[in-house]
Amino acid sequence: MLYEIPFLGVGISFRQELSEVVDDPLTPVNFLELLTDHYIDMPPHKEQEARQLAARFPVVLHGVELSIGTACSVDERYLEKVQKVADWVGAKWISDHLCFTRVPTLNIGQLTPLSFNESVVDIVVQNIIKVTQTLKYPFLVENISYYFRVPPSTLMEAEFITRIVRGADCGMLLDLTNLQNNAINNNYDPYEFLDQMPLERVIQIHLAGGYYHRGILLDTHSHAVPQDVFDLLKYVLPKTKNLKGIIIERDQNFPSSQEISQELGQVQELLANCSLYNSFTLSKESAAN
Amino acid sequence: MSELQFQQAYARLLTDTGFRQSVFQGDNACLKEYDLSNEQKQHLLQLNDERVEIFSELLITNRLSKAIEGLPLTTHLLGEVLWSTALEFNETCPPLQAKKYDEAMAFARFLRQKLDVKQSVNSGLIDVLEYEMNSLELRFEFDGRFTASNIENSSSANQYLYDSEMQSCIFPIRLLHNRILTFNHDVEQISEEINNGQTPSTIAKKTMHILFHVEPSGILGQDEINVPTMLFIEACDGETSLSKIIRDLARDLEQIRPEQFLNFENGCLNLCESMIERNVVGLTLIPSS
Repeated sequence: MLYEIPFLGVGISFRQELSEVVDDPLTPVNFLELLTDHYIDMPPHKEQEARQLAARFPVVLHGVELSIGTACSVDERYLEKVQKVADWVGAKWISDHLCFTRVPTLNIGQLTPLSFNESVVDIVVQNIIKVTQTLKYPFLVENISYYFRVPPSTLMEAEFITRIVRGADCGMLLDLTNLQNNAINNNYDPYEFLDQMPLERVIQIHLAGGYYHRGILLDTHSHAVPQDVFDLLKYVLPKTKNLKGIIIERDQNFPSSQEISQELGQVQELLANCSLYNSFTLSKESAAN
Repeated sequence: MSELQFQQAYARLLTDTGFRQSVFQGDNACLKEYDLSNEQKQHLLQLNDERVEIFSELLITNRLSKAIEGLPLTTHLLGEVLWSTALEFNETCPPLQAKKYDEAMAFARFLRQKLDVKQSVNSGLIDVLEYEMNSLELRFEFDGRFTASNIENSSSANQYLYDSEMQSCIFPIRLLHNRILTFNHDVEQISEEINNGQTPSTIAKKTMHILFHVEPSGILGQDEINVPTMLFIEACDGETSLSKIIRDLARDLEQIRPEQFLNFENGCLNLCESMIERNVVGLTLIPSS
């Protein structure tokens, strides 16, 4: 099902503050990513907003509250709510993060790293299977930024992710900024990491920019995509034969349409220079059709 | 000795400063409730304490940012004590819900308890807090169901509003999703000054009544109202006819001379019409009793 989805192109993760960017006919947005949790348990005008956006663009959903790594069964009520939003917008796929955000007694409120070991692999695989059986939409899991490894981590991260996506037979949302941040913060080579990843499972890529805080590069989605992340994109594109779309994320310090257009243009240029994708460089109109 | 128990202890370590300090100092007693194995306890001790500290601080910043987004005026007025208040909030109120609204309201309730109403220096801040809490609740709890147009026979009743012979047969009913609040300080001026980038040095005393209302679209509106308007809205109980409401109010407000009453009656009818437009009041031909 996932691999049959047409190539969507490049887009942005929608925020209210970026409405003008999306409305600007000169901004080359082919599709939108909506934050699922911005539309769950919200007043009625948010449903209207989601439907209106979906009438103009192909839409994918991206959540933060699934907590796929919590060592208990996934919240079925939450899944019902996700399903509802997905039905409003006819989502091409749904994604969430490879992490946990809550336990029965606490909601951490932030994407929190898991231990990289077999036991956690089994837990996550079972949870993803439950999600894919329930949601009736293709599901992707995203690699997160982390600042410390959680013992006992007997696997390297690439192997951990590989076992999960293959065991659950799901797609992957590869966040190249998170990869670059992790490589810097945890001292490893991001290119070696990519060589170990099941890139045939990468359906979507995320790009963003952050900043340093107390010596750590944070995943804040607050700045332009840095060049070293574009370099990773250039490296990985020829190896991701099933890629369907690339999204730029921005959550604060919102840029002008011009700045976003430049970033999207850079992504499109890399796609155009990649033989796998150069026939798919899309205009806004062809993507909507 | 399950993975879930480990995650619960790990989640608490990230969100509870005192607990974290105890764990890293090797105090096993604090871990008793989690029934961890010795190996799991060791795994917690093996966490990189410096990086965990940074992550935990980011969690507090994240919680605070949700409070700021939901309560911009209140958090602005807290000024230099905002961060210390956030730390105290984090220690007192563990995170249970991740949504911005829930965190903002949790912070608001914590602050409301903390502020001593007897101290006059706090009274302006308390008014601003009440102003923002109520705005937030109304915006997020609106479900679009009980609107003026949804009331049985409302369209028939509405056409009789200015028909003096039918006013005894129509029954105004106050809808949900509106509130009248009385403040002792000029909260609207405070809002304006802060939105213009100023910090009010004094908060002017002024008794004001504000009507908050949510339109069918979900947009929150507010109007400063006078006492007669407040009395009119409060009289719309769905059981008393419009003509009786007007007569009773005229008597209570001593507008009983013929020319006074005529003006007063027209004023009430115009007010009623504007309250219908604002989704504050609806009309029905069937009394509630």
